[in-house]
Amino acid sequence: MAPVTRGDKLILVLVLVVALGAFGFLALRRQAAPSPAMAQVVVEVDGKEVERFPLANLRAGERHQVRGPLGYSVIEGGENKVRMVSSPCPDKVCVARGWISVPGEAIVCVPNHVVVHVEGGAQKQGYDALTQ
Amino acid sequence: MKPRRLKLPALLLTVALLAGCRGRGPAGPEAAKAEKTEFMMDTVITITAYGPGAEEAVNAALAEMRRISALMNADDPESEVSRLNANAGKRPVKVSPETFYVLALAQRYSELSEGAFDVTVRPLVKLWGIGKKDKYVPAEEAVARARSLVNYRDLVLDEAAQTAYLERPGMGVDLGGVAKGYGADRAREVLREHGIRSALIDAGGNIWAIGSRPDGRPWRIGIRNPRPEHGGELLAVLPSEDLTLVTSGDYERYFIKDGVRYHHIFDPRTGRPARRAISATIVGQNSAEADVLSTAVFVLGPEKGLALIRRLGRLEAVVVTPDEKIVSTGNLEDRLEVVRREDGTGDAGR
Repeated sequence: MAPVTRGDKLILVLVLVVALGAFGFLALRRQAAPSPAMAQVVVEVDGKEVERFPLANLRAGERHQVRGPLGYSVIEGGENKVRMVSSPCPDKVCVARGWISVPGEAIVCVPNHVVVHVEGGAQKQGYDALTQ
Repeated sequence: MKPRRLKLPALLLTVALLAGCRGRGPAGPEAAKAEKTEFMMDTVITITAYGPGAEEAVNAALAEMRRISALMNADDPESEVSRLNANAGKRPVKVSPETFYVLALAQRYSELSEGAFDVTVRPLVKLWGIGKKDKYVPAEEAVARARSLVNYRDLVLDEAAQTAYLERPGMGVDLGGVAKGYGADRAREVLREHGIRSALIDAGGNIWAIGSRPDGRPWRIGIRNPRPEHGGELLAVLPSEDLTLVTSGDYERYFIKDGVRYHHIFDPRTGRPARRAISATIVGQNSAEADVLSTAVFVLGPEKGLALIRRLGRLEAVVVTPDEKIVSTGNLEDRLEVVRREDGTGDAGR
């Protein structure tokens, strides 16, 4: 095997810096929540989007059924928030997750392949407003 | 020796990341700024204004939009539009000048678009209940029945008496495709009366870019990519001064059942969600008009839709076709900065 050169070490350090930088950058992005105004609830089954609607449109107590491989998961709206209220999965981790409301937050039900997440609207990147 | 070659890309990547971080700071000089968000018209309204008196101006503009919303919201039983609908087939209803203006405008464009936009679409909206009912696909007969109650010619407007009348029971006007635009136009007037020269109105995705940015450069208005999983959240950016942009898309309210996407923009002629486009953006100087036309062009599709816009003149349009091609009217081609990534990957921020 070839000996470890100074160049190799340099690359190692650089890769670490990049990885940490990317991690920090993404974490910052998550924290800097854009105005919750345009937040969207996105529901995915098996990685495919099956439903999307503005979080603000979800009425308190309103429920939506989502069909996964095990059966129906049920999400419920609150005041500008959403949660999983029942699930056919054995562990109910998704139900225990409770309410989510901030763009970037997600409820994941691994057994039933359901992901519910809140997506930010305009992230103010290269534009001032978004027509949609 | 090999490692040396690898250093450059790694360095570039680091620099790119750092540059990304630096770009997050607020842009432009901080003029007196006021920004407020309010939930109304079945959506979210945000108004941002710059300059002296901005806060007062924003409050007044939002109050004006609230007033318009109360007149025209068909889901509010107290609204003028609800009274008009409740009296369908019975008697004409006296309405405010604002409601009369919007009804007349909506009827005019129903005719210009040969019914692709139809102001009397409410029976279909109610039947499908997209975003309200749980993945409901109505039976063919129910669709046919609702469709037979949709006809803008049966809306009778009496200019002298300022009344509106729907000729058959069961008919209903829905101003969901125009009231937000009209509200934004009114809000813009109020801001201008307050001396505001630089402001943004975001009425649930209907944008009014008033004047220019506080730093004097044009506003940059993004157009949402209707399929963010292909190339990211943003489709294109249009530098805009004193322009309104309104988009209709099949991604705003929809569900997927048996692999078919059912969304909230209906073709009144089939009674089903329109299929000729997945997004239509209108650029103009009257947001009510742009609002109506975004629906009409969405339903008509790229050929007939863009032909309508060219015939009208003074407006521009961008349409995304079902196979995700971007088609626009000639004058926009040079100004529009298409930023959708062509690598077929989703948004990295997700």
